[in-house]
Amino acid sequence: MAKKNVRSVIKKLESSSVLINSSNPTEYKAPSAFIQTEANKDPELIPHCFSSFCYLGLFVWLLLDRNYNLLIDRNSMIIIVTCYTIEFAKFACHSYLVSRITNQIKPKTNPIFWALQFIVSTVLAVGVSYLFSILFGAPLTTKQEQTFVFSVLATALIITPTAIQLGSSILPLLLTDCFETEFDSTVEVFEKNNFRATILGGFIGAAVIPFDWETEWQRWPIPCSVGLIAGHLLANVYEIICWQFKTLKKYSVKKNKF
Amino acid sequence: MRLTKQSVTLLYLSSCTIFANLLFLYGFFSFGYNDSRTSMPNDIPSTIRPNQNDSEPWRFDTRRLYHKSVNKVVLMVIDGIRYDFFTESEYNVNMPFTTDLIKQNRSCLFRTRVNAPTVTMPRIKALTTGTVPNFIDLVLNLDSSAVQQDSIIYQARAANKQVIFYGDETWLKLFPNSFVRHDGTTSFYISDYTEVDNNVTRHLENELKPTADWDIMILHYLGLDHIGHTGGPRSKLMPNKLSEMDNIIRRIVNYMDSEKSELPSVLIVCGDHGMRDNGGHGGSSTGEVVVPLFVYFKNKKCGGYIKEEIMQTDFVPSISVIMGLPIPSSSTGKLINKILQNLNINEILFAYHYNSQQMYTNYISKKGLLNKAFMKDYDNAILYYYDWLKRETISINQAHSVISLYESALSGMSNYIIGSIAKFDVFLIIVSIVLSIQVWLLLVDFDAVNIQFIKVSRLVYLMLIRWAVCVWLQCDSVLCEFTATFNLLASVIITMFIINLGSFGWPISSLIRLEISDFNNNNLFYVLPGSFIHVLSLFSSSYIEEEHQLLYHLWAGFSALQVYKTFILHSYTTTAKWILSMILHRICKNLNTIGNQSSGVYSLGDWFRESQNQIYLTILMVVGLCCIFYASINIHRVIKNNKRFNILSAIIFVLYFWTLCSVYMYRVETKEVAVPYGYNILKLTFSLHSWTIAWYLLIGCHTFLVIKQTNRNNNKFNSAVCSIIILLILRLSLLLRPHNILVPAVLVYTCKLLQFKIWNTLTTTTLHYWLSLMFFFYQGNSNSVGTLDIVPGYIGQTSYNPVVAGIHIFTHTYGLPILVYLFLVLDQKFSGLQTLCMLNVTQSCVYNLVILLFRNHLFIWSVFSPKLLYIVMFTSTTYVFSALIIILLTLCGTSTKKELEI
Repeated sequence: MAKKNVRSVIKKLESSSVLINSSNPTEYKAPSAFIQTEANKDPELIPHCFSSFCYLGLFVWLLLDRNYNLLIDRNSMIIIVTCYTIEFAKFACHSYLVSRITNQIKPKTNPIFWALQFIVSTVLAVGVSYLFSILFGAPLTTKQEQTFVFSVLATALIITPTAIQLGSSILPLLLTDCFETEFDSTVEVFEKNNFRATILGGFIGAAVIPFDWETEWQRWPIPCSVGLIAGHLLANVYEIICWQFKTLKKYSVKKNKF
Repeated sequence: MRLTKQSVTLLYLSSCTIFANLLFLYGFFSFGYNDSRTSMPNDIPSTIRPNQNDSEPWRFDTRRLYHKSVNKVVLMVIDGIRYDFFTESEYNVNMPFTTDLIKQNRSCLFRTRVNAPTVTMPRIKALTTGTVPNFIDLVLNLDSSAVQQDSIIYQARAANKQVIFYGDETWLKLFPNSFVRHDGTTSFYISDYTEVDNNVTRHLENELKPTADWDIMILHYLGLDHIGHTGGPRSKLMPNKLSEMDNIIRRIVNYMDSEKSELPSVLIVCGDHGMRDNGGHGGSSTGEVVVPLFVYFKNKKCGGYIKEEIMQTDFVPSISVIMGLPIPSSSTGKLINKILQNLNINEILFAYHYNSQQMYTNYISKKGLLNKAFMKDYDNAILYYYDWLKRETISINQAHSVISLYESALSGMSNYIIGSIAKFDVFLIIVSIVLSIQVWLLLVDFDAVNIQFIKVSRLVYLMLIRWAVCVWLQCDSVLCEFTATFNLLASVIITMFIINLGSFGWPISSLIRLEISDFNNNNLFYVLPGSFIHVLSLFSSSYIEEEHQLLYHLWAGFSALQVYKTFILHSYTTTAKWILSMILHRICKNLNTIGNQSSGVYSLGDWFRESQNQIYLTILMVVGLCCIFYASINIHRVIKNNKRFNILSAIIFVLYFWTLCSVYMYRVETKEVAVPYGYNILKLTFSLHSWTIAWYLLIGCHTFLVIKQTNRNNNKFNSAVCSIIILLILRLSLLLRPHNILVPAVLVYTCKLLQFKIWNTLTTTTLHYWLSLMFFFYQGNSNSVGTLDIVPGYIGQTSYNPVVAGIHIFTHTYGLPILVYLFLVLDQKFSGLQTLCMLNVTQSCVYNLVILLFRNHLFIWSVFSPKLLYIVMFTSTTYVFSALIIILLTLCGTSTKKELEI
């Protein structure tokens, strides 16, 4: 992976410090002051907090006042555009925070190539998710609009963050490797979790469809779309919790050391 | 030797399951409530005596008090009409004549409540006999055999009334030889909504003549229900249909007005059941259970819109009274006051007295208690009535107070009688559930089970406990009847208890083993929660109705997981195979629409059945048959030991081809697929007789092959199972509807995909269990009795033979699940069978518990009972299947899988 930021450095450090505890504590001299200051400027936390907050707002807004009705037709473009905006804002925030950190290798990407790749992967992902919606039982001849909107939303939530953050390595990330988790950067781990959680959210969301309550929010894409957003939200929250957990562990490791 | 012991244990445990299920059924459905007693004219009370001892009885002049008060009765049943079709302005603008009649108070409209199941046959029974058809009644009467109970039709015949009938032929099956003239229309073609009604209406011209000889005319219009099924109540066709019905009502009313008779004639328009907002019916939603009852008396005022709600069964005594017929003996209906307005007060009082006498007889025969409040009302009513009769000064107010006393007594007794139909033997139900829980625990920890000897002392102890419980709880269960039969039953149950309790191993050991051995297999992490959710879904009535959706979702999720997994492992052929299987399953899902949500949705099967799409159906049929041929050859190749092509294989292949061609020719004869070139010659060659001969020849060939097979590597068993698979597929290809012909091919494809994986037994078995249920649903079956297809029972039968028809229907309904089970035992041998039994017992055990908890649920008869029957049927099927496989395993001397691994 060409992309290396401080986060992965810290991670390596962390894993090695675990090693150090068991074998040889003196071999690796970590500048502990550096870690502490950089941890405060962690580029992961703030974007995740931001997007979690936004998605929570979106989620609550959807449930309020029958706004979920927007999800069934082309009106849901508002929500999709919101999702795109959140993701781009998150990425901007992330890259700003990364740029403030000094000693890092910046990946060189061609913006046109990047945009092209983004579009291609989006179109591909919409197609694939449309296909799988049909295979999971979405009606084929009717409600195409609903199914299409659902697949665009799924793409917005799964592919967009990945594509923005990682550019070219999106397809291999989501589809190929699964054994090399140790070498993944945190961003990649997050995207993979996001992929699984979002899909699972949509999958579980369908559970309310068979009930005979005959409410309007049981119509086809609404529960699944809400499930997608909820899954994505949970993935973000999970990332914050992971960050907290890591920080705590770091502090505790330090306390043990001294 | 180990195999024998294991198989005997498994057989014993499955027998226990069956026994427990039968006990449950016996406790749940109160059998034998149908009485075939019929009312006689001398059942009409001739004396009244409030106290047995002191006062002398009052003698009625029955002829004067109870006689025919109407000239002609027209009963017009409109299938599927809803109450709001008469009240909501959205609909009743299409029925101006009827609406005006009601608004001018020249007729009355009652709000009628019907009981579930809201399908035509039980509702006709309720309309004519006045009973509430129990659920089991529907099952026992699946073939719509003649009504054994007393009914108004029977009474009319007995009184030499001329009854004529035009409409739904269900009536003709229920009341054979009861009608002087009749013409049945079939409700088979849902898309026909004009012919079916015109066939009824065309008779009106002859019948509505001044010289008409009939006394009762029954018309049953089906078209409205057909429109409901295709387009729902808001269909574009509905206004036309409603105005057509309005015109018919106008015609009949005009005829009745022009009649020159002293007695008035009466027209009664009612619905047998309503319809949901999406057009279906069968359940218990408001649209389905509230139907109109419209009554028009010639030249008489009636009440217009009447607020109070009546039951559908109340119609029966009312019509009997106005016609002067004896009330059917088993009727649970109460008189409707508004309909009796033509009678004078003496007659009304007498009618009430008669109705409550008749109800009282029923009440006593249902072991009703005499110390209830409404029984006090009943006694008082008789007393006051007697006083009223003696006094001879007619006071209307007093009469009305007597009537209200009678009404209260009637509704109390009626409610009791209706409630006593749904009477559960809770003690027996609990005992059966405990028995199945024991079996389940033993099956979970099957390897540790060690059947021990019966200790007689325990038998005595448990008998004592039973006696103590019975005396202490004072329950009226059959287990507490100390007669010879039930003592024997109790001792059998107790023996099973002792054996089961004595043979527990160490139950936790297997659970730990499960966890350790399957930790690295993450398919189990999907399958276990999946089956947990599946079991949990039994607690929801809507999930029972839509079980196919849940299973399809779980299966699609699993397939998608496999697609993902194989893709990241770069095994793209497998990925393609899984995606293909997903596509095939998606097609199968759309072949037949079942369930409540999609009732009325146009399915692929409907499209294929349309006459202009016959060519596509033919193509589908040919493709399906080719696929089946290919699959059979493939399966046959697998079982053959030596790869050499020999003469026997050639014969077998020819026979496969022969049977499949005969299947095609049979479908040509039933005019479902296109006629091929050279039809006349082909018809002679590939007749249905030749199918039978070829099939039995194939049995012979396969038996020969199996016997010849050497017994190495379980070859004998494998080839036996494969032979059964092939024979069953060929049989199914004949029985299945033409548009379903692709389903067995998809089944073979999917099972082949699951075969020989390194997944553990629990995963594989659970997947096969899901698949078996899914294919059961794909074929068009569902958890409601309405979808049971009885047409295959008549294939190749010249005369009705219930045994053969039963076997055919069973094979057609459960053939696909059995095929999946066969593939399972081919793969997993004995351990798969054992796990399958375990899963089945889990399902039935939890479901029995659900029914025990929800026994007063609103949907207990409409949703939960049919599912119970299906589950018991599945358990029995599994029992028969496992017995068969155990016999096969023993005959072929197969070692279990475990020993093979060692």
